[in-house]
Amino acid sequence: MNIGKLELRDREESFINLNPLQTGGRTTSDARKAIISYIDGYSICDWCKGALHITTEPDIAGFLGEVSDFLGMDYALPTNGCREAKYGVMHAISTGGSILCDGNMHYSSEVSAERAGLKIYKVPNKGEPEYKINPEDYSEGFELIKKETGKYPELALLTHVDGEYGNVVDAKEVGKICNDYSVPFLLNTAYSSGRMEIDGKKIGADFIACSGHKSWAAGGGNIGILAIKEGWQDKVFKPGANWKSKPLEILGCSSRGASLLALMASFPHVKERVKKWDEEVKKARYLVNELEKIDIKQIGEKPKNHDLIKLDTPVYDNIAKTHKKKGYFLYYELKDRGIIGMKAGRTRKFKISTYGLSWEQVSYVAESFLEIGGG
Amino acid sequence: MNFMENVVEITFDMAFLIEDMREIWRRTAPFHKLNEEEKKQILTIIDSIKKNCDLISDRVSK
Repeated sequence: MNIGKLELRDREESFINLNPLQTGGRTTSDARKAIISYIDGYSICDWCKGALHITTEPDIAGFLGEVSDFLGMDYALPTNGCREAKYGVMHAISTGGSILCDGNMHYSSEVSAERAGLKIYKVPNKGEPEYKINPEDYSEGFELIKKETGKYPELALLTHVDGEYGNVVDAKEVGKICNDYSVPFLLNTAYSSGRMEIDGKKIGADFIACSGHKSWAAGGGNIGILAIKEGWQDKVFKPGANWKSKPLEILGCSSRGASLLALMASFPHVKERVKKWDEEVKKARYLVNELEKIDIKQIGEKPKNHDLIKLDTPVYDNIAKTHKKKGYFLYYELKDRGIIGMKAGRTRKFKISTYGLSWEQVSYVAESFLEIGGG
Repeated sequence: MNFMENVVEITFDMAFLIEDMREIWRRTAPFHKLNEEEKKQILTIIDSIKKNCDLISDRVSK
């Protein structure tokens, strides 16, 4: 079935989708209903009060207050994505100094810092096999920067859960170190908030960047959240000189359509689903345990504390060497079984996610991988 | 509510019912083996859509 020249996308309805980029952004039916209703351009502006974040019909202002509370922060603004939230903070803070980031950060953190004119320093991960970030290395990083530049960095960034290994870093420990050094702390929660409970105050975060389309069951476009702690609003949410209701860092109004409404419609479901995070972790651990019965090894911290799973899979790589479909065999074998989300052609190392799957679906995924691997 | 508004609301109601059905396909992918409750939900959705179709049919036929 086609929509004009576009192919119908039925990956969520017809398959089990394991793509880590997509599982946490799988929409709720309420989100899709909101998207259907608010799909037209500038639909959010029917009752404009001069800026997106003060709009009360629909109640964006009320929603942002609820989101701040949910994240344990004091103020929030909608952004066009997590990267825009990170960039907003970096741009507001930067005077051309430096930033200390974790070595597992997403590329968008790095290009945001570069665009904001910050010199980037990294806390390296600990290498094979777990690639962990050690929170205590932030102290060492701060001292190194001070030695090299004469000043501590203007900002520290931690990727709470990285997109490569799905490692969960002890953000509270990093927050404590940042607070001890009086370095503002930006927590990137693209893979955590919306999936698991986050309390910015307990963590000691000054800023939290979130991804609606990655982890808050939102769709209909890109959507993010920037939440901040009391005391930063004059700097980070500063309005334009001639436009007193328009925050500079979101260029006045960020997401002006269906994606923000999708985020709002999914929010009640998100508040409930974060309470079931332990169950999501159990599913990930179960799958790893099953897959490691054959020549497959999970890479990253063990045991898993997140649904994003990176695997080293010599078993499939060996089969690919003699298979007529070569490296593509795994993709097609899985697709024939109703499972997608893997990059076609990959057999040696790949990432999958069990987020939001039922136990029945997770068991079926495990059985399928084992069957293909000859287990 | 005037004639057209009512028809429009019914149309949205059907679109939303379709989304509820779509949710069941998502939950049960890839084989869509439905349990008794899911079967009941699907049949209720279909019944509601049929009733809505009849309502619109009646309105536009007058």
